[in-house]
Amino acid sequence: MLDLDKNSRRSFLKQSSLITVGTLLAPNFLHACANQERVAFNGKRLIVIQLSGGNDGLNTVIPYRNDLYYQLRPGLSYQESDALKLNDEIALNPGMNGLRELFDHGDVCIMNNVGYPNPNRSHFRSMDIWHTGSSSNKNWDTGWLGRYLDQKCNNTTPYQAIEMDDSVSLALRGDMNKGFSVSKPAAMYNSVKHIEIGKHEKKDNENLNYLYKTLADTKQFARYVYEKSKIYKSAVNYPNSKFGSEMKRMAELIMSGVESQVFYISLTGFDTHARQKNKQQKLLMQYSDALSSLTQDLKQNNQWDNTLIFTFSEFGRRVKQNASGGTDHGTANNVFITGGKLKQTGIMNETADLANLDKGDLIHSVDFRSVYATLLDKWLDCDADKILKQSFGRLNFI
Amino acid sequence: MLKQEEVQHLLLRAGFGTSYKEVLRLQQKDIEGVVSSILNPKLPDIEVTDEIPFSNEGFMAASKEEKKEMVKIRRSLIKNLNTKWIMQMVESENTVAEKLTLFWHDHFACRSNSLLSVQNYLNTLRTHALGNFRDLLHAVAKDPAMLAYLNNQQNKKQSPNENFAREVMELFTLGMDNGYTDEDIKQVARAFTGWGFNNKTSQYTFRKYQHDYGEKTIFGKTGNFNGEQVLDMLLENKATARHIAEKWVAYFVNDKGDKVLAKAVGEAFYASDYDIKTGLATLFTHKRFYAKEHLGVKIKSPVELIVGIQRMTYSKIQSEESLIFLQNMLGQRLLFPPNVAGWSGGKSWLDNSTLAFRVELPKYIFLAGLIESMPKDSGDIGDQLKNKGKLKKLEVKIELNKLQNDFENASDEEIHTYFLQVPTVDVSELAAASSLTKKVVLLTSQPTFQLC
Repeated sequence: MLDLDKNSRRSFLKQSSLITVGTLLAPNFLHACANQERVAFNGKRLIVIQLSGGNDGLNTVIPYRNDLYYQLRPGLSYQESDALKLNDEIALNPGMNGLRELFDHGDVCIMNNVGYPNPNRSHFRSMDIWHTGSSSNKNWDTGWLGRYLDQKCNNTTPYQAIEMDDSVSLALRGDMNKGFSVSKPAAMYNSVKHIEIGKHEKKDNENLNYLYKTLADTKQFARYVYEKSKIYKSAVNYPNSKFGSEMKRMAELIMSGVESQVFYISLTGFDTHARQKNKQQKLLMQYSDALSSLTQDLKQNNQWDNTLIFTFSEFGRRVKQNASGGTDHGTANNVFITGGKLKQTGIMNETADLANLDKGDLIHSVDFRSVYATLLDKWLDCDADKILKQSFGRLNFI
Repeated sequence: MLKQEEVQHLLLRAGFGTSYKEVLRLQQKDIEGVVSSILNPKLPDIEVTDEIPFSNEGFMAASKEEKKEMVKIRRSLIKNLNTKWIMQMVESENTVAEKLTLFWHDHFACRSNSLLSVQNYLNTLRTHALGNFRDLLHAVAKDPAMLAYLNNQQNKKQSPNENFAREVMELFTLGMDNGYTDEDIKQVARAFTGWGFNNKTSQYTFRKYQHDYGEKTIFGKTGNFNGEQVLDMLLENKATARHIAEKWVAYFVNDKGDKVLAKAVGEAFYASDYDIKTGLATLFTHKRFYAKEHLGVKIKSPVELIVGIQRMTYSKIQSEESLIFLQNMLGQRLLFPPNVAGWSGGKSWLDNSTLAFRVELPKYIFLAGLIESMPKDSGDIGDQLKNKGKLKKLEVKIELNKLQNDFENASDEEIHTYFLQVPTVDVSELAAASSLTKKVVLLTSQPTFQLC
């Protein structure tokens, strides 16, 4: 089934074709919400961390008392003594000291068995499903946060959502609005600063106007971010890795007063089909240490209570280890919510049921779109059901 | 007789653009003459292998070291197929057939992990690109890559799988919610039970014991229909011709469509019993195709941009890694469409970073500029189009003397019109550029170069 939202796109096209010469620099000229009320930045910020490649949830949140875990993973399991115990059932991967400390502080909510019906085990498809929020039998071409941008119409700035990268993920692409990506603000500004914007508009060439509008926004955005990025230099130590420095750059943008409601950042390498143990542990340490630094940074600057960090991966991995000391693509997985204002902390639900598998894979009990609905509704203050085109039950972590 | 920008409009939309010399030559002919001269259907197959380098069983049974080697081989072969195809688009004289192959790849979007299947699928599209849509549809429906992609291998009498049945109507023929019901999907799925392929040879096979020979009621008709008959019923329905015509108009003319044009093309297409050349000749010779409102309004897809800029400037991007990098960076990876609906196209090609990268591209091509951007990592360790490490420069060879020859007698205005379908740069600014290369960089760096 396809659901391309042709109607909403058409009505947008209709509106934007009315745009006249000379309004090109007006920040909202291409947006469909000219007649709607704009919503001001509510001060709450969502950071999404994507673990790309399919993080093995079972060796992240470890059921160290479960015999089946040890039976199915004789060469891959963590012994009780190695793992970081959270309670008498569950422990974290030994690389995750940072997260463990946050957990002890009451800043973490762990949700187990998050997934969706008829899971797809292709990286690309499953990632698209998580990005769009579609069912596994639908192909949507806009992302859940992109549709949030469309709905909010909070385009007093063109940078409501920022991705720390050189391109924008599907998650941040809406019909009318897209998030902005940036890795090197100065380089981006240099590449567009000489482009003259005002003189090229043509009222019957919508795509041309879109090009110049995007460039105008890019120019404005790049200059803004470049200037902002000079205001605050973080004094906190971040891990010495690409992900660590991106997290640091993101923190500096936040602390410099960039009013973006959504930040998006990825850490890749979790596709551990072979020799998983070391690889995954190192990656989880990178993640957890950087998260810990970011938290410290945000706390020192009184930004922790208005921040929520959501960590996910496109799927978990098979319960049984494979012959190469790794695991293959699986299904349901755990997600982490971290922040200063959580209503529910600790471990939110039952742990993975290893006795009851679907052809060797975990069966999900929480639909990921319930998590999205909760974030959209209770944190980003918008109409989640419209964005997800269906109503999903809300959770209580916020 | 066509104006310079009209000849270019045709060449950019029906193909990928071509040299200035060729534009001048075609300008001397009438529309019908030009169109018939470019609608040459002959396309060579593209092959990188004639056998599966290793079967799934062979792969599973291999040792760790062997597996590593196999993954490497498979990756290099698929990259090779991908870039051979792109270079074919750059070098070919049959650009309409090449463009149509690209269109059909978007229309019959499909991906496969089996190299031989991908190659066969691509050659199926190439064989029929400008042939008859009936032959193409029947061939694709029996193509192992497609059968695997849409789960028809699992479509059996005892447990029908509806994936292919749904998409063949929704995407390939009638169009979404256009003249079929959920019950039709169920019945059509039964007609395709038993259509499968042999894993070892990557060849279509009909597994008669899995086929449902029972009576089916499809579109109100009852009979013992098989898959072939269903495809013909779908072609019998005029909605199929209309749907393809509308897609052509959106793809070749204007995202917003053009009803008059779509109607004319759909009718000619149907009347010719789905002769693709007839449909396209109607499209490209129609007055509406050259309507002012359609000129310079399409955003080039990444492949159109990559191929077009080379064709227009006698330049060749030489290394596989460079061509793969550009696809990864710009968001269109040939042989790896996002899903069965193909690429969304239009504005979705551009975000702030990809657009900034596009306007910088001429510097990378013509001035050996240093690349700073990195494509997203897909997360898939087996990603077959993953770049080896970070790419700092594109490897390009430019035949500047040919370019100079072409423009020897051209005015700055004509050069401007050649590169940009939308007037953008003041001719005085262009005149101030001290060399032809500088002019080319100036023009191809304009945001409007992203339009055709």
